[in-house]
Amino acid sequence: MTGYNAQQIINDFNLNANGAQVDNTQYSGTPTTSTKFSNAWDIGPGVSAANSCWRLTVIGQTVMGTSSLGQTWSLVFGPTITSSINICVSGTTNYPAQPASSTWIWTATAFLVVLTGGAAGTCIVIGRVDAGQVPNNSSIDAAVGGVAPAAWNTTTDNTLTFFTNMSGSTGTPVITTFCSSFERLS
Amino acid sequence: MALFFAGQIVTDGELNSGSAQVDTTAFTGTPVALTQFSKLWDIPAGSSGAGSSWRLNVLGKSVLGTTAVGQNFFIGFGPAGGTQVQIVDMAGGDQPASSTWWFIIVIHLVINAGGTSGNASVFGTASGAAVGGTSNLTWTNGSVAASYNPTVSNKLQFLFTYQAATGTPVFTSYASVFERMS
Repeated sequence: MTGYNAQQIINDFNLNANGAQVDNTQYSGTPTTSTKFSNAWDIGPGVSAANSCWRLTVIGQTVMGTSSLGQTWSLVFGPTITSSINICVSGTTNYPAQPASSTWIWTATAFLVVLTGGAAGTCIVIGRVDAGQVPNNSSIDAAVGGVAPAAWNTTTDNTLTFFTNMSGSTGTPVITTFCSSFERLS
Repeated sequence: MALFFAGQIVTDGELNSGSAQVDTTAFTGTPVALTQFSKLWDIPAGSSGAGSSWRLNVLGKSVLGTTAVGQNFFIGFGPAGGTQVQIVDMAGGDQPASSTWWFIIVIHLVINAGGTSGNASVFGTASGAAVGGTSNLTWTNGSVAASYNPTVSNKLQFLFTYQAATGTPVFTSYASVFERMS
């Protein structure tokens, strides 16, 4: 989010907009391995402590080709891309394969809450995906996945990013994320 | 959220954080009677009127033992958080035995009419899904035009119980996030 300094004089537009940052970069493609599909949102070193909280919302669609395929959704967090948690994995009951030639609109929402601060700190990372088929004639119960307590070092630079991939490329399904918003809630 | 004015001198603490309050007290156990499982969030007397609204998010998980037992989720609101609305009345087999489900619970409280005879809409959605992807469900329920008096101190909380302790299931809520939206 925008960084302000104590005693800084700013205008009412700065102040009375909510604290979200928004990235309108479109990520689009047919990934078959876990791939970055949002901005890698930055959480700077030393800016957070226990009870700090962020919400990441990603909005997009999946247009299926001539084959039915599954989709995996993940959250990647921490100082590198090695820490991740699956919201759901393709081919499981939690997020059934999408029918051939269908279009799905979905919203992915994630929370990251710092449980304990410091170099040996911890957090909870949890996310959900809600999806409905155009023209809204079917939907999927929300997929939810999380981890706690996960290692979280508040003294280093961290990021939070949304990743996804299809279970195959047959029929050339196309995933597109249209924007992501990143709110610092506390 | 706080209302600021152009030219106002404020601290970086006011500016560089959002408007939510967060509590990371872990509530954990095997309750078989309805039990507080989040912070009892405060809405002070006289601080709200028609159109005021709040959102409470609760993040947690339920680890079942060798028996699939049902679960009940409730919202508690009003003075002392004592008025209850049920979100989830889970059947015993909805979450399979020996599974772990992560939950995100989202509760909205919106005041429809203020004053001592006021009323509010109180709704909640609970989404749960198994680690390993074997099962998931989403529930939504609420109360429309529930009696709500904003001139007195009110509370909002999440309440939980298992329908039985067989197999010693354990529910844990790790954090609750309380946002005043208007």
